[in-house]
Order: sequence, then structure tokens, then C-alpha cells
Amino acid sequence: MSVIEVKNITKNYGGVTALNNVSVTFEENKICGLLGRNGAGKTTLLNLITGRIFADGGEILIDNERAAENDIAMSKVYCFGEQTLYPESMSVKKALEWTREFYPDTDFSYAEELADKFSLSVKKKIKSLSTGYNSIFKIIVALSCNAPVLLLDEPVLGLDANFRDLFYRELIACYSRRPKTIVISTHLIEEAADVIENVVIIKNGEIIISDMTQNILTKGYTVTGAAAAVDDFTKGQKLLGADTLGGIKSAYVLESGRPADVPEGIEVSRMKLQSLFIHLTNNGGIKK
Amino acid sequence: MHRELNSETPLFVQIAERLENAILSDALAEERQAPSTTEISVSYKINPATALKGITLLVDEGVLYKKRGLGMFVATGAKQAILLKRKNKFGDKFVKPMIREAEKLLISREEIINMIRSGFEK
Amino acid sequence: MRFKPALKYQIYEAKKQIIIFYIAAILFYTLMAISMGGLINSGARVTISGLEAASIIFLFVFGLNSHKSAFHMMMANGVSRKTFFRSFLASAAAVSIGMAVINSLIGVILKQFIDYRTIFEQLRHGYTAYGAAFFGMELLWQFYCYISAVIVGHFITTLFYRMNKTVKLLVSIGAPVFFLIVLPIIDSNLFDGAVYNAIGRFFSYISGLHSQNAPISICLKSASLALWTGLSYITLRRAPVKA
Repeated sequence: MSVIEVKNITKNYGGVTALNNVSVTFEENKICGLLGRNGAGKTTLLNLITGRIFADGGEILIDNERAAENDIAMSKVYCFGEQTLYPESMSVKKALEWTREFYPDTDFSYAEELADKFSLSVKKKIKSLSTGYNSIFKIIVALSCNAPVLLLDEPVLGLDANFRDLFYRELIACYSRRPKTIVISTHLIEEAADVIENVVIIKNGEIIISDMTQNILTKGYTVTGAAAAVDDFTKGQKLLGADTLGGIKSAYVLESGRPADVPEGIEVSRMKLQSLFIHLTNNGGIKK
Repeated sequence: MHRELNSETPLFVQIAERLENAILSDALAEERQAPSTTEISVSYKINPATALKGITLLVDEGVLYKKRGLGMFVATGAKQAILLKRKNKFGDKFVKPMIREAEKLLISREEIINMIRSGFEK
Repeated sequence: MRFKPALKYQIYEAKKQIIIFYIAAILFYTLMAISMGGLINSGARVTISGLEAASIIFLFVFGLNSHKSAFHMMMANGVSRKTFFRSFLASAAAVSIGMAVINSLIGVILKQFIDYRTIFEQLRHGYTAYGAAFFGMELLWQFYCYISAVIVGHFITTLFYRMNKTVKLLVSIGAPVFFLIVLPIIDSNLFDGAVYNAIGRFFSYISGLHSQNAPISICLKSASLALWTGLSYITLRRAPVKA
């Protein structure tokens, strides 16, 4: 069991409300994408789940038990964020050995196999790792520790295209072999779009979308055609925005079902997750 | 795996279609084992649940079947079944759009038929 | 259940520092012995002490280093602050007992060669015999001194960790200035040194130094230890992870 329930969480930093009465459930054994613009509150949410910071209101439950200061609950979760919490003078190998102490299910040989695939020498000291290799180190720990819950905050930070490709494949293989609850927070939305089964979008400290990726992609579509025709067709629908070029208008719609009868001259096409995200989180949001 | 899965058709449908293509071209023979969900999802970099959905679609259509403990296998007669299914869909998928586009371009029925005839002469 | 690996980690971090300390101490004493060799042979009375004092200072610094790195490691591996604190106390106790025993042993060995006096001996004029009771008390006394040093150091570093930049600056400059400059001036001019006197007596009370009565001394020491431990825990309880 590995369900994370966030209930009415509020977090303030000084005068700023980072998270405002946020409630969301991360389903067991699903890969969920946590998306949001810079400063939206993703890292804050992940830090709250792992107890690294304290909430000003609400509670977080892992498998129906309060997560805060709870060793049993916390032992189910492995999280890595931007901040390196490991001692800088420690070698990668030592860090992996300590991971095994704290997470007894750690698959050490898998870790070594990953290190090999990513060309990371386990003898290297953490402080000597570049940004990219720092991410790789954390990815290796996260995938090999076999914790039931993995929270990955920007896992591909600094990784070149080849390593990003390798990361997604390894993540999928690892998840397929041994299902776990995974939450990935990332800015590279299109890359992750096919991997995440659920998607949660945070905007200005509030959750605006929490749904299956499939559903969201069905609800969002683009209507293209002559400007007047498009306006006519999209009357009364939830418009996220529109672009016009040379008399042709593309309107971005978020509606519960795709229209069946599409008149001549109008083209209805699927919207990619990244486009949907951009339109949803631009400062403007849902227009009428 | 050369993927470039497009964004118009649902992913799992595309996965099913790709497997069907493999069966049609004899690359994946009948009574042979089909790729596993893990192999498919890693190959296309998609969520295993999506791969599973694609496979389930083919199982429902009788193209694949499950051998307990071993995995998914291509059913006997799968190739025929796929050919039949696609033949039935050919009209909606290719002919109707072609006619629609031709009408847009003001191409007459005679011209279309002539084009088709010369197409066969290649 | 996370306690064992947490404690293992604390000991791991402590090991290196302790080994370095003892190597340094042994080198120092060897050096001293060599340079004093000439004096001793000529019959002069040489008294050496100070291993305990050095240990107390070392352990205080050890305490000062015991927070950030270990705390971050615990947070990275899903260990609660409660368990972190418990493992810290356990390791502090282990280290204190260990060093108390080692130091006493060193004392016994050195006594064979030179006139080596421990602080405990110097303070306790009430004991005349060097029996088992004496050594027991000496170990206990050392243990209290050492663990207090660690915990006070830990408390101070945890407090500093919680402070934001401005407060840190104020305290790092303000505290020494106040205690070393301002207070003495006020004290000698207005109170005739009574304040410093009171502070001195306060410290000797809580560390049990003033009393020749061992049980009372132990009670006071225990109370003061409990106080520092409590303060340390309160500071840690709601500590958020900082950069």
C-alpha cells in the first residue's frame, strides 16, 4: 500500500501563501506528473510530504497514517530534490551503502548496473559531481532503493538528451518490474507526457487540474479555421486562449467532450499536454 | 524503436495498430510470442498501463491471447482477422477523406476514377 | 525501527573525529614526554594533566558539528527528527562513556611513568584512597562532563541552524561583545563584580563542582543535563530543512 493523501494543506512563507488549502491524492502504484510553473508550489508540496518542512494547516496521510514525524510512514518514501542532503565528501558508493541501511530493500547490483549505464564512477565524491551527474546520482539511488513511493523533483535537471532518454526507459522498466507510486515534478512536459498516467497541475499555490492524462487530453482540443467560423463554433465553450494569423484563428478549448459534428472549414485537433499546460497556466487562464 | 507516435489517435490505439502491422507483414508470426508490456513501454517510452491497454484491445479482438505463465501470443488466424477488419475500415479511412479532399479541390468524379486507374498501372 | 541505522550513521560520523583527536593527543603527550625527559631524569617534579580538559573542548566542538550534516542525511533518508535526536543522544552517551574509559586507562598507564593528575583528582580532596569507588566516581564525573559538552554544543549549533541570517549575525557579534566587554564593564562599575560572582557560583552549582558531596553533585549534574537535552530537543522539533 502506498497512497498519499494531501488534505487541506496550507503553507505560508512570510507574507506569501505558497500553498492554499491544497487537497490531492496520489494514487497507489501510478506514475503521476506534478506540473506547475516556476514558483507554483511543486517543491513545497513535495517537501511537505516528506516532512522536510512543516505545514501551517492541514495534514498529509500515507496509507491512512499521518506522515509527519512518523518513521514508519516516512520509510515508505524516497524523495530527491534539488538540494543535495548527502555529505559532500561522501562517495557515491558510500551513499548507496547508506541507502541500503535505511532502505533495506535496496537492490545494490541494480544500482551498480545503472551507474554503469550512466557512466558514473561510484568512487566519485558527491561534491565533484556536475549538475547533470548530481541528478544521475539521485536517479540511481531513487530507482534502486525500492521504496514504495518515489518523489522525484526535477529528475532530469542538467541531463543531456541521451541520458534523459535513458532515464525514462529505466524508470519505465523499473516501474513495470516492481510497481510503485511515483510522482515526477518536471518542466519538460512533452517528454514526460506519455509516461505519466495521472497529471496534477499547480498554479499559484492551488491545484487546477487533477486527472488522468488520457482524460485531460480528450478534454483539450484546438479549433482551427476562418476566424468568424471558429468564433461561431466555439460560442459558449471554455476557451483557454486563441491565436490568429492571416485570418485563420486557432482557439484552444477545454471542454468535457470533443464535438462530434464539425462543420466544413473547421478543423478540430488534439492539443498536446504542454500546450494545454501553457494555456492553463498563463496569467489569463480560462476565458469565456 | 522508431516511434514518433502522433498526437491525434490515442496512444494505446497506435500501439495496437503497430502490433497489427507487425502481424500483417509477417514480422510477428502466428503462435509466436508478442512483445511484453514492459518491452513495449520501454521501447516507446510510454506508461506500461498504456501498453497494456493496447494489448488488451487486441486480446478483445481475438488477435492476441494469453498463455498462462508465459505471456501474450499471436492467435491463429490473427492475420486474416486483421486484414478483414482493415478492409472494412478502408472505405471510411481512405476513400471518404479522399473524396472530401477532391471535392474541396473541385476534382470531378471522372477525374478521380481515372487517377485511381492510372495508379494501378504503375 | 529507523533507530539502528540512524545510530550507526552517527557513530560513523563520530569515528573519524575521535580517532584524529586521540592521535593528536598521543602525539602531543609523546612530544611532551620526550621534551620533559631531561627534566624528569634530573629529579624535578613534573605534573601533567589536561587530557580531560582537551576532551571536553573536543567534545564541545564535536557537538557543534553534530547537527547539520547528520540532520540533512537523516532527512534525505526519511528518518524522523525524534529518531534523529534519540540516535544523537545514544551516540553522545556511547562516545562519552568510551572516552571516559579510555582517558582513565591512559591516566593509569601514565601514572606509572610520571606524576599524572586528572582534574577529578585535583578537585576531589575528599577522597584519599584510590579504590574502586574512586575510579567509579571519576568515570561518572568524566561522563557527565563529556556528555554535557556534546549536548551543549549540539544545542548551540541547532539553535544557530534555526536562526535566520540577521539573527545569526546579531548573536555571533552581540553575544561575545556583551559577555566579554559590556557585562564586565557594567559589573565592575555598578555591582563591584557581584554579577560575575553570581554567574560563577551558578555554574559551579549546576555542574556540581562546588559540592564535595557526591550524590548531590550527581543530582545537580543530572538536572542540568536534562535541561540542556530538553532545550536541544525543543529547538530540533520544528526545524525545517534549510539550504
